[in-house]
Amino acid sequence: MSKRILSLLLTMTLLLSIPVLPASAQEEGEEVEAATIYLWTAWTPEAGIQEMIDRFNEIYPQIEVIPVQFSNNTDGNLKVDTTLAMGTGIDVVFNFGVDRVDARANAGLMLDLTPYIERDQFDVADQLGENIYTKDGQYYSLPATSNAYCVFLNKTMLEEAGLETPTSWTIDEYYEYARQLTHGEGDEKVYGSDSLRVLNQWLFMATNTFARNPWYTEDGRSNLGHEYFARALRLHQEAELEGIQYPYTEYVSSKISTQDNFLNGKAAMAIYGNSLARNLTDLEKYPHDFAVEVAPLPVMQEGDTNYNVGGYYGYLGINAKTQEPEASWLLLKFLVTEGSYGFLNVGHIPTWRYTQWDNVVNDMFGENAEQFINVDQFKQVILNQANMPQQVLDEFTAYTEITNIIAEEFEAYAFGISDLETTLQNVVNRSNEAIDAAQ
Amino acid sequence: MKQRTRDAVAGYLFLAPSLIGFLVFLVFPILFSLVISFTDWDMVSGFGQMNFIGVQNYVDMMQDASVKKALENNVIFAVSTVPTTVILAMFLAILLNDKVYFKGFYRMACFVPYITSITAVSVVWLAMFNPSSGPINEILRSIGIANPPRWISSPQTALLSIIIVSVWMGLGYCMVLYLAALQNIPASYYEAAQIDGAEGFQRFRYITLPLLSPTTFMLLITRLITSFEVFGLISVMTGGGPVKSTTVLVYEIYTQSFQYYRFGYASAIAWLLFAIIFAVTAVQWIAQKKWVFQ
Repeated sequence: MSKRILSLLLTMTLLLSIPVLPASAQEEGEEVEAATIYLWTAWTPEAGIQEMIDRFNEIYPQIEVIPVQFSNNTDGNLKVDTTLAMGTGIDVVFNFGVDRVDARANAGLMLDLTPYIERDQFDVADQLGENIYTKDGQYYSLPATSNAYCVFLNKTMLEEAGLETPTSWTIDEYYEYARQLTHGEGDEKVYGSDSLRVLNQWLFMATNTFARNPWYTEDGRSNLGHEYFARALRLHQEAELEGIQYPYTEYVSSKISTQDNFLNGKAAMAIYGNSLARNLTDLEKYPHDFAVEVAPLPVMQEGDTNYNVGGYYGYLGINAKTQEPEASWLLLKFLVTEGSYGFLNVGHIPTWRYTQWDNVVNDMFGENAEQFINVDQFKQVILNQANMPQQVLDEFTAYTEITNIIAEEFEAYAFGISDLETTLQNVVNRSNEAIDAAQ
Repeated sequence: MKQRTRDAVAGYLFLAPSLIGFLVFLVFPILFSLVISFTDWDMVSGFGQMNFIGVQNYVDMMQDASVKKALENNVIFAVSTVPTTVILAMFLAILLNDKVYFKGFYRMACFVPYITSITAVSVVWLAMFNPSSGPINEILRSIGIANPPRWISSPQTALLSIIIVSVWMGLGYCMVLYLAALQNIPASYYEAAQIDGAEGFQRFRYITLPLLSPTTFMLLITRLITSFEVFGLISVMTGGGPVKSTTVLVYEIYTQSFQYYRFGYASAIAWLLFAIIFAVTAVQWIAQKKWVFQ
């Protein structure tokens, strides 16, 4: 009895081990080995990812790319982090924001790309730009997409109020516009302004005037006591109390995003990112009958430089424990260069400096682009963001903690629980504590 | 092998699937969380990066303003929801136990909130609680209340809003249990009491209440434990805000572990929660001899 079982087991082992034995010998030269890799992004294949993969496969048909989708929120990014920690099922991953890259690189989850960059003689500055994120001089990811933040204006409402879209303005002028654009009562009320409420991006009207690391001083302490932040906060609050800006206290219940308010005609101006532009042609989900004007973010004072607070955003990285570093690198390199055009479908702007910008307007808005958006302004303010002065971000000590501290204290201020001075003092003290604790 | 041993082995084999699941998915994680509560583990760096830091997490926890606020909210929440739900459920059960038209429909209507998905409930109540355009405030304004509460939009009333939704959800479950218990009370007790001259309220106080007390005791314990574990409602409706007015211990555990990656610290908070629930349950258990009908 046992002999029969033994021989059966041996046979099964032999049969099962055949696929596991190494395949053909190492391929040399420009031939690339077949591989299967996983690409993690925040979008479904139908949204545009499959298109990019198909174009990649035209060059490298032997590399199979499996797209995996995660949501760009706390839970989704936690899923990414845990999968990276485990090490399998993830190869190339889309990091939302340089702070996420920094966190993952510090945890040892990202592959060092420098050897591949040097081997392939990939000129990062020429292809993508200056001041790309590095850690200790090494590249752990490369940006495929960038963000641009600006002010979107409802053209119909502008004309009714007799206003022109400015090419540069101050924060006071912005709120004056908001005052003049606010109209209606009760259910018909249209607010002049709606600011970006998430991730402290409402602070952009202060941070955009800093050339470098707006939240930190030169010696790494909290910069949030700066008078610009105080002024931005105060004006923000006064606008909401005056009724010319959609109140944060209202948002807490309604949870309506700035984009939805603007596209539903409930706000005449919206401070938002370039992703709004992509939704303009989706008349099923966002029916609207007005054209959109685009203006740059206002600055604090006349003469201040408007630094690009968007900048590099979609950083592609490779799992440090990947089994297929070569195939992953090839996909990453493709996606940050020619492949990056595909990210326009999901509302991101390619970082690649050799992008064919002339085709973008047609691809995004079709023949009748002017019906949706002012094309010149779109090109000047959004597509041209790489030619704006860039804000440099290279300090991330306690970045997540500081983000949350600002959000909490801002909430206390918005609800009238603490006054402006106390709020700012709390932010500065708590941020400095967090910075100390992180070191 | 002796027969007894064979029986014992067979017994353990039958138990094995359930026992192994229990050990792997319950006992081990609980003990593991106790261990990591004494470390500064952040999970993503892997098991090798666990540094033993003694009771530092517990010390930090005692001084953390957010944890204190969460504990305060938990106590207010428990004290508000548990008695309210249990008492209301008892009266509802008594009402629906008698000869009332459409009894079955009303019972089902009361029970449906309990089995509805928390996310669906949260989203609908969020719309209802909207201070400017929600139906609740529209009704309040139409009956003359000029400044109705701002519900979720105000740190003063946000917790109250959560309490209302929580009571509404828990009523059905408690009511169903009371209905079953009521039907176990023999009608002869009431008849005897009536013959002795007992009024309606006296019948309730001397027959119904004591005979329902085992159910009441069970509900108080289980609803209290559940109230300390409230999370889904808060996560969808308020995110712990505004200004931390609705944060609770479980929500703090969630943010500390999944947003800040401080798994050691979050585990310490989890064990604080365990200690509290254990203490409260122990007190109730000892007190049962006094008032629960045996």
